[in-house]
Amino acid sequence: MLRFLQKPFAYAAVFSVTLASVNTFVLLKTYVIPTVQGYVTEVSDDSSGSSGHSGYSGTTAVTKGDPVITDSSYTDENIQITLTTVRYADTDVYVADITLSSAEYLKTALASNTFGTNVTQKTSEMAAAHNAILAVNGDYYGASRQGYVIKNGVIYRDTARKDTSYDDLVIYSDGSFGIVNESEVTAQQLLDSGVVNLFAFGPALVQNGQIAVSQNQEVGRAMANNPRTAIGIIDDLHYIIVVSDGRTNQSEGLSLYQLAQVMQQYGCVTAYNLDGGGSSTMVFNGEVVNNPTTNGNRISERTVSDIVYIGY
Amino acid sequence: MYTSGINQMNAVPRQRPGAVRPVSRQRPATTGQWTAQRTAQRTGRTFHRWCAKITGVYAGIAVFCVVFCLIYEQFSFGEHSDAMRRMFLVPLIGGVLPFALLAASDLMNGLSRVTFNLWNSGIAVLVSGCLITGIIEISGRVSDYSLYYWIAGGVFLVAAVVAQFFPSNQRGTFSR
Repeated sequence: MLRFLQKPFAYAAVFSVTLASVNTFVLLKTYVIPTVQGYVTEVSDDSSGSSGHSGYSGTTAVTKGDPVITDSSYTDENIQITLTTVRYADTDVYVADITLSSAEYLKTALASNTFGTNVTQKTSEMAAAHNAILAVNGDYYGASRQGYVIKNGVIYRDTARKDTSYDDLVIYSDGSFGIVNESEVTAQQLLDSGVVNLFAFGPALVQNGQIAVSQNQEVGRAMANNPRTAIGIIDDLHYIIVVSDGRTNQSEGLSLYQLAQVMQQYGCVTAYNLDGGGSSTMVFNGEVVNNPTTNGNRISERTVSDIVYIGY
Repeated sequence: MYTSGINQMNAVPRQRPGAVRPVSRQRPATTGQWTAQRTAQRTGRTFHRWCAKITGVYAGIAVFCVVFCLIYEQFSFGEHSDAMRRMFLVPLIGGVLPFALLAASDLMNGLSRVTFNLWNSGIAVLVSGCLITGIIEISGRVSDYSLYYWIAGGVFLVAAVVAQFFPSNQRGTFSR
């Protein structure tokens, strides 16, 4: 052993190869190798309050009637969606104004109906798989091993995130929004209080109708304008979902404060920032409506862990 | 020049018949410890000069770390990582500082190859830790493996220090 350690080139070669292998493994484990921890099974009516891996009970018989669908709107007797594109801060911003007859049409879905890390799928693919009328990327829970994951009434992860500086958005079974901090409440308590969906990204953009972020506040350590995704509630069962372009010649992107301003201008009482950057994608009636950027400025849809969608 | 052990030191060097070894390159008559200083003298380099050279190499690595970080951040859409920004401190504190100290002082007059290898390994592991952690943080994810890098790097560095005082290792001093 000592002799080997004394050999300059042999030792350096073996050590370098070993270190490179370890680094490669860590990167593959972080970005590529999927780790499946559970599967989403079909809905059952008694799943509320459980922490098993069954879906949220929300599939009571519904009647859609004959939907009226245009390039920028969808209307049936339960769901009304109007999609508009506005120009704000040199950025194209896609705004979906949503009115529902019941909160059960506001849903989330996991990539490949599987819970785990590095289990991803394109937003448009998930939207198609779930017959979503409108879908946007969610909180990309798979990017971290911490943070509560509650989707459709099921706790998938109950490990609180260490960084408590950001709050979570919770959606209750009646469709109302709330902002909570994981350091103050457990996932089970949230589920018991009626939470059916939770997003652990952040920060909260608007609270009680007031902008809740400072002009310099950013996600993580980002200091630049970026593509963004946000969701907000205006009134009972009346929501706004916003996706902005960015990182392109056409669109500079929004800062968090600018995004909060947009949400406030549309009358949001509560608004929350979801995963952005290359993940920001909006799908409406089966078409990607924004310009998602992946790997820099290339217009291409990125795969993500989960989506928020409107549908039956 | 590098000698790996006492046996090798006492071995009779191969010479062509009739060849006369220059006085400056002749092995000392004594069979005492083959110090790095003596080895260095034999090869025309002093241990201090060698340390100065290693200092320069580590300084180059530190500069490379800074440049790498700056370039990486240019393509990270404003994201940055403290771990990556501090990556240059590892070769600076763990390489430039100690070897500059050894070059400028008479604290030591030799360094075992084992110690040198282990110390370099520790620095490499810590730099890797900073790099991998930085890449993961900039991508918006949380690294689950950073702690292992810090532990492994620390173990290498401690082992390097211990190895320097290991008796059997003293015989295999080197400088180059």
